[in-house]
Amino acid sequence: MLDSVLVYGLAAVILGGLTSPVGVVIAAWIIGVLENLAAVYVGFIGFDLKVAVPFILIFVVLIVRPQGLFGRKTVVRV
Amino acid sequence: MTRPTATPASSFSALRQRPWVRWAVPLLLVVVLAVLPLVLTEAANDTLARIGVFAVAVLGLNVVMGYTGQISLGQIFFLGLGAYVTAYGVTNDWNIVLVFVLTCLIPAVAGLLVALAAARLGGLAIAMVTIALPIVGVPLAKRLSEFTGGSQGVSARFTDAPEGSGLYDDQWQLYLVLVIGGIVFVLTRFLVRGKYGRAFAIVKGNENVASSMGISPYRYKVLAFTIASLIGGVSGFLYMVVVQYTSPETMSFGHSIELLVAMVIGGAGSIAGSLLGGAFYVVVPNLTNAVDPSLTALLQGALLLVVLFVLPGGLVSLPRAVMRGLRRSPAGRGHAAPPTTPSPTTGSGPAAEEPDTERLGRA
Repeated sequence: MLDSVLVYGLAAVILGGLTSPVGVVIAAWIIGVLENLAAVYVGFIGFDLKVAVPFILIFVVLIVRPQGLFGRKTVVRV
Repeated sequence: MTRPTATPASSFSALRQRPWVRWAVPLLLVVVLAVLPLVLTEAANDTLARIGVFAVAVLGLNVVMGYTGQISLGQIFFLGLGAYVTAYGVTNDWNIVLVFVLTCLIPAVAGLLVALAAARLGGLAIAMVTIALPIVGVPLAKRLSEFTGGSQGVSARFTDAPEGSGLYDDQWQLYLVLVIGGIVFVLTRFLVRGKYGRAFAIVKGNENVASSMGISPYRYKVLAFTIASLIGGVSGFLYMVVVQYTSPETMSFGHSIELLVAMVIGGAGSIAGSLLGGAFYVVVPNLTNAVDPSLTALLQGALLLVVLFVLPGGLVSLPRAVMRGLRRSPAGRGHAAPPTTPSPTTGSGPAAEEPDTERLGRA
C-alpha cells in the first residue's frame, strides 16, 4: 500500500541531498517532470519502465556527487 | 563465572568441546537429513524444500547485511534473475551443469556491476540503488517477453526423479535442495569464519578503522555484494527445482522486504539464523493464513514486533537467552544460592538489594 510514495520520497531525499530540505523539494520536482517526459519521448522507456528513470538519475548523480545535488559534504572526525 | 558449575548451560558447553561430539553432531545431522525425505509426506517434503530455497536466499542477504552491514533491499531480484536464467536454459535444452554455472555467474556479474557503483556511496544510497533492482526488475521482466514469457511467466520441468532411482519427484527435489543448499551453507560458514569474515566484520564496525588497518572498505563491500548476488542466483536455481515456475511477481518489491524481515527475525549475522529465517518466510504465512486470511499482513507485522521486543538478536538468540535466564535464576533468588560459589553475580545480587530494603525500613 502506497509503496511507490515511499520509494519516490526516498529517491527525492537521496537525490536532493540529506542536508538540504529545499534541495529535496527541487529534486522531487525534477524527478516528477523528467520521469514523465522520458516516458513520452524516449521510445525504449515507455510508461511501463518509467519507474526506472528516477533510479537511473540517482545512479548518475550520486556517482558524480555522492552527497546529492544540494547536499553539503559532511566531514566526520575520527 | 570462571569455575564450571553444574548448571545445564555450562555442562552443555563443556559437552560441545569434546572432539567426538564436534564430529558426531554434524554426522548425525547429515544422516537425519538423508533419511528424512524418505519418511515424510509429500506436503512436508515440499515445505522443507521451499524452506531450503529461501534459507539460501536469506543466507545471501546475511552475507551483505548481517556480516558486512550494508543495507540491501534487492536480494529477491537475484533470486528472480537466477530463476529466469535457469528457465531459459532448460527450455532451450542446455546441459544442466552449464545452466547451473550460468545461474551462478550471471547474477554474480549483475551484482558486481551494481556494487561497483553502489559501494562508492554511503549507507542510505546503497539502499536506494538496491531498492531499484526489484522495482525496475518487474516491468523489465514483463518487457523482455521473448526471454521471460512476459507477465504469464515461464515454467520449466527438469527435476523429475531419474528413472530407476525409486524416488518420488518431491523426494528427489528435496535431495537436490539439501545437497546444493548444504554446500552453499558450508562454504559460506567457512567464508564468514575466516579472513574474509573478519574483514567484513571490521567494515561493518567502522570503515575508517578498516582502512587504517589496510582493509579497503570499498573492495570488501563489492566482494560481499557479489557473493550475496551469487548466492541469490543459486537460490533462484533451487526455486526452479522446487516450484518449476517463475513470473515477474517472483521478484516483486514486497517479497524483497519479506526476505529482509525473515533475515532480521531469524537473526542477522548468523548461519543458523538464515535457516530460521527461511523457515519463517515459508511457514509463517501459511500459519497466519490458517488463522485468518484477511489478517495475514497484520499478524506478520505483529509477530515481527514481538520477536524484536523479546529477542532483539532474532530467533537464533533464543537458546542463549534461555541459558542466561537459567544461569541467572539461582543468583536472582539470592538466599537460595549455595554459599560455596562466591561468583560476582551471586555476590552483587543480595548486596545491591539490601541497602534498598534498609532504607525502606527506616522511612
